[in-house]
Amino acid sequence: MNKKSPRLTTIGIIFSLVALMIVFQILRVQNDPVMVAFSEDKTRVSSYLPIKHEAERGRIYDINGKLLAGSKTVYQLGINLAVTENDGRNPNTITQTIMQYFGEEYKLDEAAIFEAASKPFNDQLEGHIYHQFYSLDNIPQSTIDELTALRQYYEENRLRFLENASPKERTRVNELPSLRGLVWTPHLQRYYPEDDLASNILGFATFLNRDGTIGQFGLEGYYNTKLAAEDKISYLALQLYDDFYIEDIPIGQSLILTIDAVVQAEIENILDEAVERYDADSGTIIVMNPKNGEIIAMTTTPRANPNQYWYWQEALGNDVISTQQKNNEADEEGDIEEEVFEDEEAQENTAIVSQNRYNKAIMDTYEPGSVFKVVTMAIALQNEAVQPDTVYDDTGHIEVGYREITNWNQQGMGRLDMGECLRKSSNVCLAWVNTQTGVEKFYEGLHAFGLDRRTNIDLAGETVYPLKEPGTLDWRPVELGRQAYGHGIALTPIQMMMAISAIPNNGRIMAPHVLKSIVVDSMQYNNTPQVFANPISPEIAKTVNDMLIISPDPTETETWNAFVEGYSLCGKTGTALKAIPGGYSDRETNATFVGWGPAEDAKFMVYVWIDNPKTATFASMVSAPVFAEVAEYLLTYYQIPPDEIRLKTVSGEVAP
Amino acid sequence: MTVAARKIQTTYQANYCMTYATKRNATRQAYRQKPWRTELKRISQILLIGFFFALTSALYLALASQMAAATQRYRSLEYSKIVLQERIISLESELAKKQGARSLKDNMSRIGFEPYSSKDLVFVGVQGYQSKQPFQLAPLYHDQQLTQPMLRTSYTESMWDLLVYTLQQYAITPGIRP
Repeated sequence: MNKKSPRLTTIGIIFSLVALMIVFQILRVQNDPVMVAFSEDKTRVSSYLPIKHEAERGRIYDINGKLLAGSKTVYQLGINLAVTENDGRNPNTITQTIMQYFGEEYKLDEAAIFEAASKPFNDQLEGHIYHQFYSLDNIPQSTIDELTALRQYYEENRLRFLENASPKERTRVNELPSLRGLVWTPHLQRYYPEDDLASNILGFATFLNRDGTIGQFGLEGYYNTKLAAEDKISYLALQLYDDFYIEDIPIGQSLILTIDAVVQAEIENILDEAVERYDADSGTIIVMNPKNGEIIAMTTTPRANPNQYWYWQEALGNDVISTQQKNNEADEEGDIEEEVFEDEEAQENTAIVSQNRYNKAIMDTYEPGSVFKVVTMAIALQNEAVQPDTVYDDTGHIEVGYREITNWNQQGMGRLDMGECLRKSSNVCLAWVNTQTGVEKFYEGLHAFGLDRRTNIDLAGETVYPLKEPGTLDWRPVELGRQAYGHGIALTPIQMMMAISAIPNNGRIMAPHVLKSIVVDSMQYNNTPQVFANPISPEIAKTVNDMLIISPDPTETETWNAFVEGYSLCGKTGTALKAIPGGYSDRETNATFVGWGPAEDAKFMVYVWIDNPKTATFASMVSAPVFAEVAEYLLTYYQIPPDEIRLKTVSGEVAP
Repeated sequence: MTVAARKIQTTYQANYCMTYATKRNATRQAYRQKPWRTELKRISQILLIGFFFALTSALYLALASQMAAATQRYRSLEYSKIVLQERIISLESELAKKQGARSLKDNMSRIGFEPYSSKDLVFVGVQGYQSKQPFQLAPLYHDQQLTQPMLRTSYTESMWDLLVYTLQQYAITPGIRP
């Protein structure tokens, strides 16, 4: 019987163990996620060519489907290194052409361009076949069309030469001018077809930064994460029998707005003319549907062109610069009182001022003046502090918190009921009304109207100024009287407008919004209007509404200049001296008008703010006519019949 | 013929046949095993294998080349698709510029149109008039009918449903095939 050799058994076991370990290692490597990813990556790199698809930023449409923000094709120039000089690449022609078209604008270095144009192809070193000119990007289609025509001309020239030349001469064909090797690769760039139309609402996308485009201001800023989409990479198989799939161009979520571009264009036109007519610093108009909070149009001046967003500060900061220049001039003349900025801190704020000017409707706070009386009266009536027929004898002055409050002309207006107080815009009367309401109820009312917080409109950069109320450091008892007519309180136009929108909407404030619908994965989601606040009852709203009906008689109301023939509209003027550091300017004003119509069933609401008008200072002479112009346009645009027809239709006298 | 004689005759005939058959088989085998014939057979076999190999190769090459051509075409079309997508996006923006609110107003003014005012409007009562419908870019989320695929009943009904349906049709219109 053979005796087994222990040595052989040991060797056998060792070999078996080694074999098992190898098998184990093979299995481990094949199943290790890191190794699998590494392997796939290596396979991809060696077998597939990656192609990057830059995403199209989501589009923005107005309520009627007009494109407000889309994309357009632009090009980046480069050199195809695989096209050698033997293939016709002519570095001289390429350099001359580039310098001719772009040298001055892009401040190019001719030697560097020539060096790139002469670069030899070395696959081992380069790893890619293109040399991209990173500075020569965002070339428009028109320039590329010219370059294409030039390249075609050179090619035809080469053909003619080859046809006519002798075989010996043909070797010199590559000495001819040629744009072979110069390539332009397309990519999408954010584009605003109507330039600065609605630019304060749209904001802008920083499209020059292709790898890090972000939205700033307005919708671009607020909905940046929705509008942006991730770039995709397709892997193109280098072997023709390998499977591959080229992705579609990814697109972000598209927005449909409540904005009507036609109305927007018209009110921009009206505002521009008004600002010029009244020699104002700037202007703001908002048009809204008070029944659902939809913003129909919103504009401010000046406006920046988002297609050239890099100039936005210059576009909006002219007045700031002029103010600084004014200060410098005042310094030279030794007239310190003329300075708007009294200290360095204020001068540092110029940047913020500039930023706030992008959309003053939501980003700039100011003392609204007498338009605020609408809120004061509504709070008083809601708390039954006064009745509509309560009569007040306006003597022209009243003492509130140990300080005297007067009317704008220091004159008394006599015996006024509450409607007359509003229509004649008596500061004294409204200050008295507030004393009847009392501190607690008044500030409760302001909170109920949402004046202590942002409206949360879906636009980036909405600001809010803290409400001056009991308990805050700068509140004094006189504020109860001053705030009654819109002084000592700083609000954005959108805040003021939203608060007053309770009047035409049966006491209910709808949340302001610009987004009508959003399209996600080819499915449209509608934005449902939401209630923002419910500060007063429908009865009080109707009472105040009736108090504010615009009459053409200047002895009856301050709003006579806003009258539109044939229509019952409501409105209120507001003139406030501009607050400057340390007090109020004695000649600069903010002229505001807020109005809506038709009176019995408002279809639109308009807010007009003209900042520092110089040819006239009162809102009744500045903002009221602008409102009338806008209202007349809207009544026509929305084909709202005059009272004569409309009210008969409503009462059933005329068949609908 | 006696039984014995018949037996002898039968045995002879059998032997004769066997001998004749053996001879004939031997001849045939010899014929088959002739060297030239064997070589011819082998050559034929090789040629046949070669033929099938060539045929297979030709088929493979033909298919591979067709596939490569198709892939090349597909790749080219995919590229074209991307380029066209970008072009369409760009043209839509260009169109939006030309149809923009300001451009339209300018063009209208240029060809002599004037904006109407409220005084120009004549209001006429129209029964059932519907104002402009809101713009819709994609199917609405809540509109389930649009999100469900439209299928013909023949794709969803069972044999039993078909039978019942057919019988019902006969019942409704006797003698007429639905």
